[in-house]
Amino acid sequence: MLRYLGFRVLQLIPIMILASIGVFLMIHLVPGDPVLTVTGLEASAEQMARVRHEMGFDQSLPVQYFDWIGRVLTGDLGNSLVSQKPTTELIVDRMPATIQLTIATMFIGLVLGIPFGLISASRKGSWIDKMVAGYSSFSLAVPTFVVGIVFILIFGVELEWLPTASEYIPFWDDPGGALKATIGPAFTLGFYVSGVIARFVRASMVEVLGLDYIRTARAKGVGEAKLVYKHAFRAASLPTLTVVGIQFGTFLGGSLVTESVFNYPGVGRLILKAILNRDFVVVQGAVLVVVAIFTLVNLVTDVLYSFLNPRIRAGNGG
Amino acid sequence: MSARTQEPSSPVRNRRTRSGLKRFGDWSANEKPAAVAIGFLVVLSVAAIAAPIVAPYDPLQQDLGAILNGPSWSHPFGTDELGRDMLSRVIYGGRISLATAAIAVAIAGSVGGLAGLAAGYIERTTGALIMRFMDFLLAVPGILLAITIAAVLGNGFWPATIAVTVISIPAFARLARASVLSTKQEEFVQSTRSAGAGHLYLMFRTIFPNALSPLIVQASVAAATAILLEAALSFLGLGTQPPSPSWGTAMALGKSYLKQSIWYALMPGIVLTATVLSIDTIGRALQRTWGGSALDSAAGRGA
Repeated sequence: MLRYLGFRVLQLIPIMILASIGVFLMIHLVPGDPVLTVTGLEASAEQMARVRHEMGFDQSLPVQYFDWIGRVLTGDLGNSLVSQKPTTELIVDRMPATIQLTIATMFIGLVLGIPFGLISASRKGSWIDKMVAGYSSFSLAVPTFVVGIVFILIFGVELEWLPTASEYIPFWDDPGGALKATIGPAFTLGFYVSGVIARFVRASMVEVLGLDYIRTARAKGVGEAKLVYKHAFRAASLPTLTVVGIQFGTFLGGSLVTESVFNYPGVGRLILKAILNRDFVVVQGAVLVVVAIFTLVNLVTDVLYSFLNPRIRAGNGG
Repeated sequence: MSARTQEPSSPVRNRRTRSGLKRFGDWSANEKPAAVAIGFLVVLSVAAIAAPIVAPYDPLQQDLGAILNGPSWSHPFGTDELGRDMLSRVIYGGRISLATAAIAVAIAGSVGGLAGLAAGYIERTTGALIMRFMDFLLAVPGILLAITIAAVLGNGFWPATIAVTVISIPAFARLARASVLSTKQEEFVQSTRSAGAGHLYLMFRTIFPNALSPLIVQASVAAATAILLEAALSFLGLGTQPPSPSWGTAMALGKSYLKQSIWYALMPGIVLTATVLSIDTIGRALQRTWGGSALDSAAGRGA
């Protein structure tokens, strides 16, 4: 187990090195001069040369990369070209909003998705199964910005129950207000997640329900409900964990489209604004952080999976 | 109904003697939703290709006397803030979505398929290098990578299409490699090799045809993802720019006028959803027919 853990943590290093080079190169190959973002279009050649030198853009790419990565390792992601604020601070400011949205999203996704998947698998081939299959397909096909707009249309414009643009209100400050402000984007993303989870729970349940031990239990007279919810679901919940982990990691990196539909002030909006402003320091830093979060959550999921899976736990550990 | 019920097995397989059309007829009788989906996509594609003939109006023609109208006989999808006919704009927008999907699937499918074929066939260093590069592409959430690429290349149809293409490559490569690795061990491949077949013959004539069906299913997933991502990029203002009538752009503009007209933002959204749903339905039907691993149509999809 420990060996497996160590192996997985070591695997992070090459991935992060590659990702940092990728992000760095991508940003530095941008057509257009980042210096112009700072100086404005009317700058004189001298001014531009001074800024270029101050920012280190006159150095060679490898020098710039090692300079950047050295500072990144100390937690300094550089200052925004637009607001001059440290990128690290900008990300840390936005993180709570994105974390709250992610938790709410996963809650809605699991509460809808797991029962749908279970019912669907235990009544395989029935009309309920077909309805759930249709629901999953639909929730995966409909773009989040369509769901978001329809949500705003119904609850914001027609019923006027909710604001048409949301803001971040911490849950512990004002639970009611937080619910109102987060439900729109959370439902939009949660609807999508519920489709993924329902499809996945159904597939794993159908597989488990066909296994010998379930047939033995059924032959011994274990009731169908107990069979499905106790015996089979425990086994089927393991692969589901992986999907939940991937979703969790993705949304923790911010949801650019959904946050933008609702004007929700999370990490996704930070990145989108930086991209639109050509604030490449923030884009570079934030994308690197998002990739790190995504990779880390995937690692935790994998480790948790192997820890909970008795076959791997007892064996040599992957 | 008991959980042990078997899925109906497809009668289509092994009927080589029947004509293609007849086999297709049998298949679509079995997969009715897929048949409806094919019908929808055919209508959409024909309308998009023949847009200048089919569309009732010029998509850029303004009519300031009829702005933000709801659906009517003269404007079935309503009008936008400049009085332009939304049906015509949606038909012309279909050209952008379908072209992006076609280009992304064709290029990503060939590049990814070839890379995966090579990685699976050669295995050693080259194969490992190709797959590590694909892992890197997969390490970044799809929408984020697409947006960064689109931002780097600038706004417009081509940057968005290139971005969508690049992020579609790794899934093809992984899948092609996996099927090549499993096919390679089969007896008929071994015997063709001992009969003296060269590498290229083995790769393209012996192994590749057997790896094709999962790749075709993946093509449907990639097409759906491409359309979704193109619309998302345009919605964020990073794709095709106004006045071009991309579905995503239309929805972003329509969102500002929700209080005046709900149809403006809704109509492109409905057509977009129906298109993606159709492609997904066909892909899943093909997968049922051919068997194979459970692909997640959500892979790489934007949020």
